Amino acid sequence: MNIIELDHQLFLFINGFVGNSAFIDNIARSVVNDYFVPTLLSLILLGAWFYWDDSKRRDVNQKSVVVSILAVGFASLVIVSLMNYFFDRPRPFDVLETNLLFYKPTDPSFPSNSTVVAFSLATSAFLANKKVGIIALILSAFYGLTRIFVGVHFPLDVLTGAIIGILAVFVLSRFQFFLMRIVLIVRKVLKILNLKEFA
Amino acid sequence: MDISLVAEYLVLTFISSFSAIQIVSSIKDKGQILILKNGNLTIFLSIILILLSYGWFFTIRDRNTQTYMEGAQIAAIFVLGAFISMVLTKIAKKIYEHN
Repeated sequence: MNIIELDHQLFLFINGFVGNSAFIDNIARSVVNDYFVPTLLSLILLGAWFYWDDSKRRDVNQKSVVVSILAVGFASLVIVSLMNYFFDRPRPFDVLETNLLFYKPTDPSFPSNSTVVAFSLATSAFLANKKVGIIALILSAFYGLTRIFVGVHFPLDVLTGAIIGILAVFVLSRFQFFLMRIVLIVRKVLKILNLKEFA
Repeated sequence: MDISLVAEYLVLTFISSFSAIQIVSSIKDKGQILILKNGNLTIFLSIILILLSYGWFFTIRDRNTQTYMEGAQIAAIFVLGAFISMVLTKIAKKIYEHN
């Protein structure tokens, strides 16, 4: 059995649970869309911008917020677009008999862009605060799982998306000087706009 | 792009951002941006506001449909909502102090 066949088998196993419980189906339907989890993770990062007692923690947290924005942009717009160009993988519902609980996306399946975004945000939250970050990573993993459950992604799409999101944050977080410069610019803009309390 | 969808998401991000800022301000005792003096009441009301805004956003229409709104556009709306919440937090704080 090659990796694609294994991926198909794993997908069929997870997607096979659809219809067993109306409650679980409804939870998945509520969480799987493009808004629920990404907005929640963005709110956590917005909180991180203000969640500090001293200037050192302030710099760390605010750099994490900047990393999250850059990572989402870089990973989602550059890396995923390039991978979509080279690997035009069809969606599960195009090649297998699927229990579909979501609309049929028209873009390639590999990698999962939603998972890239979620893991970029969650990993950035982890850099700001380990405890909150772990909760955010669990939430992102659940989000990825629901994308498989509802029938729009294969497990390999989600796993690759998670790896891309995590790596993008760790690579970009190496550029500390550059990140600090952006943080200082944002603080300056907030002061110019008479919002220095939020800087 | 569906303008009503943008407006709905902007309302969600504005209310939830405003609430998130109040929760953190209360925990970290940031009096400059904390509107109510009672910290526990602030956290309670903010959580209620977040739940209500989420409940409203996800019940007024089916969100599991294709909208052609890109991730970057969604992120831009979130940033705008967060910015508006900062401005209105400042205004609300001034009004509250004035009274």
